[in-house]
Amino acid sequence: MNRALISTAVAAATLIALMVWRLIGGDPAPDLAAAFAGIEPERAILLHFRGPRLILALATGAALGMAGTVLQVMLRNPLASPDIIGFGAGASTGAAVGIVIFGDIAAAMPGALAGGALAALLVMSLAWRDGVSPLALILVGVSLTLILTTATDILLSLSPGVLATETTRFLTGSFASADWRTAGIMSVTALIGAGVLAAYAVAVDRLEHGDDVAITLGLEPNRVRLAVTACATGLVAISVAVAGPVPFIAFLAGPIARLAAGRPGTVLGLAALVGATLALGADALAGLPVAGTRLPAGIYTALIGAPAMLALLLRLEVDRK
Amino acid sequence: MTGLEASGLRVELAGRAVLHGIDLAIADGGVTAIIGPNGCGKSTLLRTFARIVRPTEGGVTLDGRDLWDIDARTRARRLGFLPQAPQTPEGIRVRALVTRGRTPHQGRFGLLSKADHAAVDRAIERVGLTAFEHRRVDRLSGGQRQRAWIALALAQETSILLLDEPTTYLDPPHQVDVLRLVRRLNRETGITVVMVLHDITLASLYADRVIGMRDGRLAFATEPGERLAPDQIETLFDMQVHALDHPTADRSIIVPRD
Repeated sequence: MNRALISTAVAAATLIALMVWRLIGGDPAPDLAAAFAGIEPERAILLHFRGPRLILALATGAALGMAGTVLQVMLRNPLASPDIIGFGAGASTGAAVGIVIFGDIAAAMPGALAGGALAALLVMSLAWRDGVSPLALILVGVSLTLILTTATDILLSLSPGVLATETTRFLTGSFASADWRTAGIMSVTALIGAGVLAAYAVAVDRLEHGDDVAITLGLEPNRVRLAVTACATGLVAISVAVAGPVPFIAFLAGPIARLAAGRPGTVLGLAALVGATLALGADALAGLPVAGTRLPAGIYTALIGAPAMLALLLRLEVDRK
Repeated sequence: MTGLEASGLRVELAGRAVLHGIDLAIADGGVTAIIGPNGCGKSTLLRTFARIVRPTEGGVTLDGRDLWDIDARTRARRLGFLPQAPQTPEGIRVRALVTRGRTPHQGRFGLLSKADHAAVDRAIERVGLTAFEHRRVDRLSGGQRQRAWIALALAQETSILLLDEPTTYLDPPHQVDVLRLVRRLNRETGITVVMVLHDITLASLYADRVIGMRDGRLAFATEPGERLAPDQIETLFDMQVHALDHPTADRSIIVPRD
């Protein structure tokens, strides 16, 4: 039996279980009968809080999972996910600049898109050595992330208190403030991204063999790189604009999907499922009280992601020897 | 004419002239070997034929059309190329690798037709890897790995195949093994083969036609079936050689003079 198929079925089942639980489980569990009978506030809780929050987490997770896996495969580097090589930091800083300058949270979207695009352009061109150099990419990306984090801190220190608080809250990745507008934007974005990336996945997988082989197979590597980078950056920037930065989902989804499927390549569908499951799982944890408060989803993805990154680095080190 | 033809081909790489005006036609149906000292431009010539290196002047035509004007997919169904050290992603299986040769035939979302599966089956069988098709490529021996890559090129179903030093990194028996396979494929399928080789004797034995290059220029080109002469090799390498008769084949064996 096909291992990729089994993994996909397992991931889908996990995801559906989580979705059901996020919708009707938890403490206190919503009174479904009351909600469907149109009794308030049960109806409103289901329709206006749990519903959009579920959809937003789902779409954000899937978008980040897809963006991460295509970049990792295309750049032939498991560390080359947008949250590590600075694309995510670019979008976050852009969003923060937008909010502070215009004094309006609505400026987060254009800010994130501009910031993400600039960061992607900067990282790719600085890491370009006749092709993207894997080591240069990581170093440039991590340096840029540090610079941008510092810049954001300076910006927040200089901006007025209310605005700074609002921006800080925005920069903590979370699905808690979801509404149908953000859930809708993210769903449409994820669907468009899925269509575009599915059309490029074949080409991205062939780029793993190097440009010579890709050209021989009738592909145009530079065009593929440009389209895929633009699409992945768009997915990341829009996810930052609607949910704030949720770290490590983009980084983790691809490797988990490849491990589960037992084969290399983008495994796009499975990576989207894994990304959605991670986001939903983190959001479920975010709903649980910890020491009298609730932590945002981004904290939980970082708690899983950071050690996983360390493990991957150590493994790469072993492989080199 | 059909096939590949270079005319007035000049190539500069990083500002340095590597090929200085090459005129060469590759006729359909044979096995051609290109030999010459390191840095003579033989790999660059092959990579220019593969449309990877862009000519600075002159050009390459495929079936009479400029190689750079032909649509990429159309070209990829006619012309295959195996680089010297292609990257093999960790964990990929033989069948998955060979299937990638179908790329120029596949639809947009990578769906495979019956014809695609049949072509992959045939290619794997031709190189004798049917029993290994579910093995990981990175766990095969060097010779088997090279066979898997040749199968990828066969699955592409091109009528011309360019091989850049297909015997590098292989020990002598596996070198012979790969070249025998290449010659057999040429005889069975009629695929035109152009390969860059390091070893003069192997080139002499397994190619119908040998092309000698030196300093970015053609030094000689034998006629199909014609034996290598010692003075041809001497113009390439500045060393004195003997040409001996092969005991069974009508080919020369080149050995250095003592």
